Amino acid sequence: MTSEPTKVAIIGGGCSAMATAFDLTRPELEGQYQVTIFQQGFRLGGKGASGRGPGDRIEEHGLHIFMGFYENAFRLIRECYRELDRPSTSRFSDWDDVFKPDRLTGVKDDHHDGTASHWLTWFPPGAGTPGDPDAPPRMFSASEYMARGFQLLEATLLSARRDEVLDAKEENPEGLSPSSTPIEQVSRIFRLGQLGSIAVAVEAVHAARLIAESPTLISFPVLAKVVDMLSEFVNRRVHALVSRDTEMKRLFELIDLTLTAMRGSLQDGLISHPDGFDAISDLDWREWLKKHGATELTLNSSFLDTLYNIAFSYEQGDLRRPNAGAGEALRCAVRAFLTYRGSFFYKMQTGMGDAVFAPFYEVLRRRGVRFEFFHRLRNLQLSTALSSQTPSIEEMHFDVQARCKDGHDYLPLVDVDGIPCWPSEPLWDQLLDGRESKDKGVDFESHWDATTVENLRLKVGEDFDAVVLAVGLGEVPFVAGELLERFPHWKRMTEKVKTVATKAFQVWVSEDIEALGWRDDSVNLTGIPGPYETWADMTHLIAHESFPKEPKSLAYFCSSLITPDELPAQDDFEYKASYEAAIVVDSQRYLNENIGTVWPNAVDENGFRWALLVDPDGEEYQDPESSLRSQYIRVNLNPTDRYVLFTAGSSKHRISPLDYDVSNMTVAGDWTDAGLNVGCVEAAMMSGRVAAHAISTYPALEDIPGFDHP
Amino acid sequence: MTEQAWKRPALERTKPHRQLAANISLTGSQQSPKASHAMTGAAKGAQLGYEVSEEQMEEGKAQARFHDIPGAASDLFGSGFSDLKGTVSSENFLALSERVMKDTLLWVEFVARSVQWQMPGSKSESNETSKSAEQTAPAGGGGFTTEVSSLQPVEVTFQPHPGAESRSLGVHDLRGLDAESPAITGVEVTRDGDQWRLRIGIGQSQPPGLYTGIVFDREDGAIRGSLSVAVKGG
Ligand SMILES: Cc1cc2nc3c(=O)[nH]c(=O)nc-3n(C[C@H](O)[C@H](O)[C@H](O)COP(=O)(O)OP(=O)(O)OC[C@H]3O[C@@H](n4cnc5c(N)ncnc54)[C@H](O)[C@@H]3O)c2cc1C
Repeated sequence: MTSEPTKVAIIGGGCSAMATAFDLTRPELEGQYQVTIFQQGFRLGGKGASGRGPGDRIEEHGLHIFMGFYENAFRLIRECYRELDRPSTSRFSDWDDVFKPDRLTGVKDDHHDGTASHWLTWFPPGAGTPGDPDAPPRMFSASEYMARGFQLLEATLLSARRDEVLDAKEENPEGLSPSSTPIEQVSRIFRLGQLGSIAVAVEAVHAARLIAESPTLISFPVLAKVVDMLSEFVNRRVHALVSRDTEMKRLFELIDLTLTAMRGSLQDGLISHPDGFDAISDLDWREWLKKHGATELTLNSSFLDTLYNIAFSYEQGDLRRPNAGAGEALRCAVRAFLTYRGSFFYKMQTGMGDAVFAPFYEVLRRRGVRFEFFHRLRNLQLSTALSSQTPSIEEMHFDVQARCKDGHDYLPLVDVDGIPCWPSEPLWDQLLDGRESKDKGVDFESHWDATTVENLRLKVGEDFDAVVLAVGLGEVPFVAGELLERFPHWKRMTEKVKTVATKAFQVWVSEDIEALGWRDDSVNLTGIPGPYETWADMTHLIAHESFPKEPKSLAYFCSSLITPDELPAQDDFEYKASYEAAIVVDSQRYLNENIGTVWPNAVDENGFRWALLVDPDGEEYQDPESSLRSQYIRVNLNPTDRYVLFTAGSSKHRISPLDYDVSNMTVAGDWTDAGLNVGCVEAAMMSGRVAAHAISTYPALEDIPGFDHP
Repeated sequence: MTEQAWKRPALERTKPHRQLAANISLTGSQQSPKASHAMTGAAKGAQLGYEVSEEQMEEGKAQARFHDIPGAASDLFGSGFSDLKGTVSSENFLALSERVMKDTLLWVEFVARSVQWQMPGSKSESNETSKSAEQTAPAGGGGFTTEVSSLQPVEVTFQPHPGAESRSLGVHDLRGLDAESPAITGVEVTRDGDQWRLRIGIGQSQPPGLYTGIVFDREDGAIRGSLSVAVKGG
């Protein structure tokens, strides 16, 4: 062995790549690994990238919200901020300046009389904060989950019961007035009677929870029976009582869903199953709930839809084709609802690029990590080993998309009000022939733009020793053709693990959400009629942008986009343009026809009030087309940018960073088999850490929270 | 190439541990410190269940009889009860309601019994009920005392969540299930060393009924338990 560091080439600069690079270059490893990150285009971030556009506005790849159970992501981000050591006077000196708790979440609820309302849920704070450095290692035990499940139910029931009484008193006085008709009076009495039965349910759930909290005293069959009885009670009786009462209906759905999941886990023996929740991954989540007796009301509830919406879980982006593996959904749900710390959700106070990737870039550079921007991998060349031998990566072929003037390194960040940020476009002035490229409309991130100034071949042993393939899943067939040919399971993985295109729309508005007619606090709401199902109020970001005329509110919309699975050829320049044109039309229709469901005052008899939109350069437009184009709309069609799904039956085809197919390579990304197996920042960061383990045996798998989990 | 090519290290394992039963003890001889607490919670839960259901049932029955409304059930219960839709008489309606409530009670009993069955040594802790004049009654245990000053007979059920005693606690006003009843306000929560004291004052004019409130954590707003007072009336 030599004392020379091992040269690790990480291909791609998304969340997973940051995690691998961060773990491999920790001081504890004493410089054993010399890491270089090869990134196409001008910025890090991948699916989490953002940039600053006109008026310093933040332009996101899509809406990104962090969850309170992201133990790995928060742990690394917190360590990164500590090492970054920004002055305490900086607006974003530490992680908690950047990630703020966000507790109010909503679902749009359709009623059978054709009306709709919004169900806003407030999650009580969980102990500690995610990624707490001193937290003891987590044991994800079945009994703890049962106990916490009951506890959450109890909290929900208690708080709902209180609200119900308050609502009845404050918001609906006429229903309680002495002059109400006899039928109204009886109705009221029985409404209260229903509350009585809910009160009984509260106590019953409480008792069941206490049983669950005494694992030494109770056997699981008895607990299963209790849960069964409770579900029976809820199904047969409360269901009938609540079918006309919105608040009761929601409570019922929540209880039914939770109890069904508990009952299903007990009945399917998931607690002692060697595969844990993977044992049910071949079923769709809704199908599994149905199998275990969830009622139709729950199966069709907006609450359940939300669980599909937030993970874009629709094949080919088609809302009529929901598909989410039950094992992954259950794992994610229990982690999300039962293990969050601090807040259920966290919202970033700036763009994700600036909140996450700029700090990682700075810290990694300080640690000696090299960044090769404008390097697009074209091919991983395998050694010609015998089929009985494990091959290695012998060469890597890159298209160099641009070179910097005078051989300098590309410096990718710009200063916005004292904070290092990513721009939305390359910093053309640093590039050789940068102006010409800009004028030609070169798009270094587009799959359909082949701009290349040089072809580069890197050789094993000279230029690199180890490779971490951390590109998005959609890109894998384009760069790893030789692996797909050699290993049938690689080919199968690219066929079975599906991806979906997404679209995002950001709107700066001259009135605040209250004036627009939204009657509640700042919110994240899903279930709005398409083409954008999700709206998040992001008004808090306006303070960090610099429009000449300051908007009063800022809304992010996001959704999956219907596209076929097959991609067109790389010279089909029309493909992206046609979707981009269509999305403008769609967005216009959305504002005209559907936005009124959440912002009733934003529309008048002619449709959307276009003068509400604020231009980042201070221009005033009257026509819809120009107003709309002053806002930020994007479609994520590039293969690497497509969101990774966890459809039923797909998880078993994922490749793990720990698999040993190639002797000097591993993989990282939210598409790998690395514990969580869903498309989110936490899964990507976990995967990156597992990849670091595959290269260096550090960190220990036991120290990657959530890796060992049913 | 002459130099030895770098190879990935051998790993101890390549899969997550997904089977967690190994981590938890499904049987055991040690009695949990929560056991007595569980008993109290379940027994009181059952009692409270009876209270609430009976109270609401009686009121509902009286109202329905008084107004004698045919067809009320389908209107109130919606399509959930298809067998009763259409020509539902108030008698059916009452029978149905009673059935719902009875099932509920059966269920609560089951839970209470299953807890008792698990803990043969435990005994139920009686609630504080008094019919006397102005009185102060201590109740509770495990670091908590509740004091009620009331001219009316009352029954107090206080259920702290495990670990609540180490938090900084407050209690929301106790609201009646009947929305028109005034709330029981000003529940005082004080701490003296290890001992928590909850003081509840109930006025003479407080209408009979069940009043409940949430015990919350002053630091993080989390729910740490519940407090119920059943005012029985003179
Ligand atoms: C619209 C949208 C909204 C989302 N919202 C949330 C959310 O709210 N919360 C959440 O937790 N998760 C969310 N996600 C998921 C989250 O963004 C991803 O799971 C995560 O960013 C994936 O990280 P990754 O490292 O696996 O891959 P990527 O981020 O895709 O990184 C891949 C990297 O490889 C680079 N690359 C690709 N091809 C090449 C090549 N040939 N040569 C060189 N470099 C290449 C890319 O440019 C990129 O930098 C969302 C995703 C989308 C699409």
